[in-house]
Amino acid sequence: MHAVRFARSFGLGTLLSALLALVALALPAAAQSEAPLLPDFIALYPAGKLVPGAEAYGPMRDDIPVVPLLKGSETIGYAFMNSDLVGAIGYSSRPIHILAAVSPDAVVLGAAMLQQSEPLLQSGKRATTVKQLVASYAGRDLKPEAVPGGTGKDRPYVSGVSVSVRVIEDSIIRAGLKVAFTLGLGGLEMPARPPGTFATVNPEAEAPATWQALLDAGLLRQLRLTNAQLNQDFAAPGQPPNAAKFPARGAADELFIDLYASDISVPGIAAQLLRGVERTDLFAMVEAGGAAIVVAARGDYSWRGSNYRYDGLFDRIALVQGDKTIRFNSRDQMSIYRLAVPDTPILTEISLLAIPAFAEFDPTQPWRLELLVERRMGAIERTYLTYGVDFALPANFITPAVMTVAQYEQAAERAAVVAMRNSVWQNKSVELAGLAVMLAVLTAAFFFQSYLTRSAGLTFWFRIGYLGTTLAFLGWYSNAQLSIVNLMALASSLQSGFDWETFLMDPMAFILWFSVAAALIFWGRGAYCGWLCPFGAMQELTNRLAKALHIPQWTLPWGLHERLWAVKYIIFLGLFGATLTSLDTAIRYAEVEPFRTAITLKFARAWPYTLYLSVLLFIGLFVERFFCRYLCPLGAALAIPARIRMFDWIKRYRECGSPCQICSNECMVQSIHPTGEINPNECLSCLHCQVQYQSKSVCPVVIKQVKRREKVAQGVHAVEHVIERTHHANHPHAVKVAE
Amino acid sequence: MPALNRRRFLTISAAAGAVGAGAFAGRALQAAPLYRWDGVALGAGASITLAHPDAERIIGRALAEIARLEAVFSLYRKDSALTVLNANGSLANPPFELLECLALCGTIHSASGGLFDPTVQPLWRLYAESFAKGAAPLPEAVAAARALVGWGDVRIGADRIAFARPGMGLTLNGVAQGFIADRVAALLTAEGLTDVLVDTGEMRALGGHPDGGAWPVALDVEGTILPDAVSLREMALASSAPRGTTFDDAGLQGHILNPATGAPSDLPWRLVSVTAPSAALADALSSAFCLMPREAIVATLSAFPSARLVYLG
Repeated sequence: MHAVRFARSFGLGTLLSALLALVALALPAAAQSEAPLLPDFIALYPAGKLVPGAEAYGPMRDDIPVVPLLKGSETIGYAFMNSDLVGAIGYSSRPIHILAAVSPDAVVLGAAMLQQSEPLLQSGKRATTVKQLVASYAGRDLKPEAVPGGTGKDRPYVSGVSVSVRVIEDSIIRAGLKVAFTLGLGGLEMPARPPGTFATVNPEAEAPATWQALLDAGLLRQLRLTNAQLNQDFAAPGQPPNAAKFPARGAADELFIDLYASDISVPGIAAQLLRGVERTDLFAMVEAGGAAIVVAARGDYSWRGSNYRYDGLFDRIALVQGDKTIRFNSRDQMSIYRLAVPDTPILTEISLLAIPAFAEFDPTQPWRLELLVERRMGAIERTYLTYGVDFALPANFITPAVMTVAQYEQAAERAAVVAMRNSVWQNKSVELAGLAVMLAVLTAAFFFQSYLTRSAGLTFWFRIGYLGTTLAFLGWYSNAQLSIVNLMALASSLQSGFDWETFLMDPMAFILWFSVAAALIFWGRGAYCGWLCPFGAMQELTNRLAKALHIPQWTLPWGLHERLWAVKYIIFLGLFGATLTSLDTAIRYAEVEPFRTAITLKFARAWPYTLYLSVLLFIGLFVERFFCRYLCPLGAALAIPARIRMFDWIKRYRECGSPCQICSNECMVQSIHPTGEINPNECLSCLHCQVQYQSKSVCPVVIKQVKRREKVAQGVHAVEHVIERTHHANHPHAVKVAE
Repeated sequence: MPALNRRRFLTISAAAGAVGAGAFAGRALQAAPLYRWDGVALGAGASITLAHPDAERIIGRALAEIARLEAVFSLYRKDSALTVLNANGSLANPPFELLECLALCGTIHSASGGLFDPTVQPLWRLYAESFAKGAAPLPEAVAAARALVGWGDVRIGADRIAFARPGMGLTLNGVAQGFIADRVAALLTAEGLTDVLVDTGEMRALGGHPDGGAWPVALDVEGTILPDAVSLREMALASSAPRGTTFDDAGLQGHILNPATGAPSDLPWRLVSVTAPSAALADALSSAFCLMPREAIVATLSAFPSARLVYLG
């Protein structure tokens, strides 16, 4: 390949290409076309041809038009079209389409020019040379390019087509960097700064409309150097004595340079200094998170210098901010003929210079544009001075940060928790609907219990059906088994900082606990223990089965029964105490509840657990709800506040307990004292005694009443008869009749 | 880098930070308390003293500037511009600060008759490495390293700095501390500050002490403190102690090498202190004077009328 350094060849051709290069600079960085071209081009160009060893392309990403390059199932690189990602407009004003690929380490794996309309590249030796040039990008490491200004590497020179070559270089490097930064290849990544945690430019702030006012407001900063000033500085101590012998060319009071700088990516400033179309071009050139400055000057000294024509780098200016020095490459430059403010002085060199996002330039922080002044002293000797122009955006152009990063992270964490909670609630919609229906039915049953319990049969089958639903739907299907562990977690969270979200994560338990709380106010513990507890339902249903099979039932003597009640409270207090020391230990002890084994894990557990559960269920066959009555710590916890209930729904007669003991004997959990009162701590609200209460065949009171009524009815009849008779007797005619 | 026997880390100590609360009545009238940052720059102790309500933010900017300049001048950082230049023998598009600093080096090189020479780096490295192994370098090795010294063989241009011969190297330790002090002072001036003392190993005073008067600076002559030896106002002070840092444990082989002989200075100077408008100039001059007899120093100073020799002994 015939590659001569651009700098060394002179002549008309070079001059022309330099001019063309400037034309290209002035062209807007063409916006990316709407639909990515990548799918069309990769269909035409096999992966193995682009990168030897690659076998196929993977699916295109959503965030950036890039496809993985596959070897088997392994991703060996990422392919992209330069024209999809960055402006790649060539001399023909049409894009030069290059398919390229980078490795996970941000090294170019291969590049191929697939379509171009460059006039001089349609055929011939040049076309071949440029094709080879494109292919030669394989192996180019992009990591060193990820500094503002790039490496300033010499561009190979191909006679006559320098614009095309420049576009090829720039677009491959810039597109490759974009891919590398987006995908985090080779350790390159964008600094992640959440919005609101840092100060930003206020896009609403308006700048004044005249040149002088912009200067006065500090929105435009000036560096003005006369030849006299410069000569004086080059005569300062420390400068070579020779420097004074080579003074600036012009008269002492003439301008050496009059330079102006501003942050042109600030919308308010751009609105004044640029025309509409220039603004559009500028904002097409500035990438998200990047910025741009304007450097404009007149005078004898060129801030652009001439070196950039060879290696792209403007070697007389640098932007300094904090510990960063940002230099500018001509590929990130756009020339402007005249600034839009009416009283602008006539300036000869006006450029908009883009700063890439990865430079981490902060427009809200002060910066300094440094100007290097070179003085030649004869053929070889040089001396240097730097001048600076300091820029700081006025406060009204800055929107301060609204929160710290820590605050943002907290909020983000919160939002994630809420999102997760919402999705959990959505996923549980079937269960929640079922639970809602169950709660509505149970509430109705309690509210209208006197109607329900009129029929012993209806009440019995309603209860069997409800318990069946509780076990199968709430328990086995929804795993909605409340547990003492919930309360232990609550107690623990009260110590360490209560958060609703923790409890909202389990919607079924949350709703159930709320209904338990409500039920405690109205009915006591029975609503949950007697109706909604899946394990309770399991015990009762197995016991029903046992009864149906005529397995003998054992009623504990009252004295023993009353003393065994206390055990569950002791277990509860023990667990509560354990929670205070360690929640983890307490949760282990909470295995005294067989709920996990029976409901959540459906018996699929290590044998000690299943054995324990089986023993409990076995005892339950003979002693109805054995676990609930004597062991259940959750039941104990719910029993303690059971007396806060506001209403006594369970109706009693004066005769209940003295002398009648029927309900007391039939109560499945023996919650009715021999003296007749119902112990609300133990009552499971099964409604059996309420059926009895209305039973004309069981309740002696009802039976007596019925009898009395009958008697009364008979008595009435007799009285009526007597009255009638008397009436007849008293009738004046009656006597006569009688007589 | 090999370990050096640093007898004294600092040769000067500023009395500024030790000013008692009641010493200056003027302080009571000012809202901003005197703020002093102490830290490290270019491997040496550094401090910045100023009085400003927003002192911490301003110091933050100054520290960022120091960090930025360390990335240019430090020989202890693998990625600094100077390290890259020494490693590759050339550096494309050098930082402006390097160009400016080298321009000053050229001036002092000529003024000192070649005694101030940043290209002594190969010699310096030879001494440091040899003494780290416990022995003085062999005369042949010294001769070979001396052959790599030559300021005239450094090509300096805005597009590129390059050595004419392979193996050459630059050290700017005799000037960079002062240069950094000047840059920090410039940054603080741009911030609107008037009374600041920047000490990056060399000192640059902006204005005077916020309590009034000049900044009182003490000199440390091999452990003997001379309090308030120098009063600094709008002036820089640089000191060099040829045997303040030595290659050998006996403290005889001082770290300032003579490019002409390839050996450490044989002059009796314990401390050379120079004031000048810029710290970089004072620093370069004080480094050069370590290798000069008194008459030569006086002769050289005549070319720098704004610089003064404040201590030699």
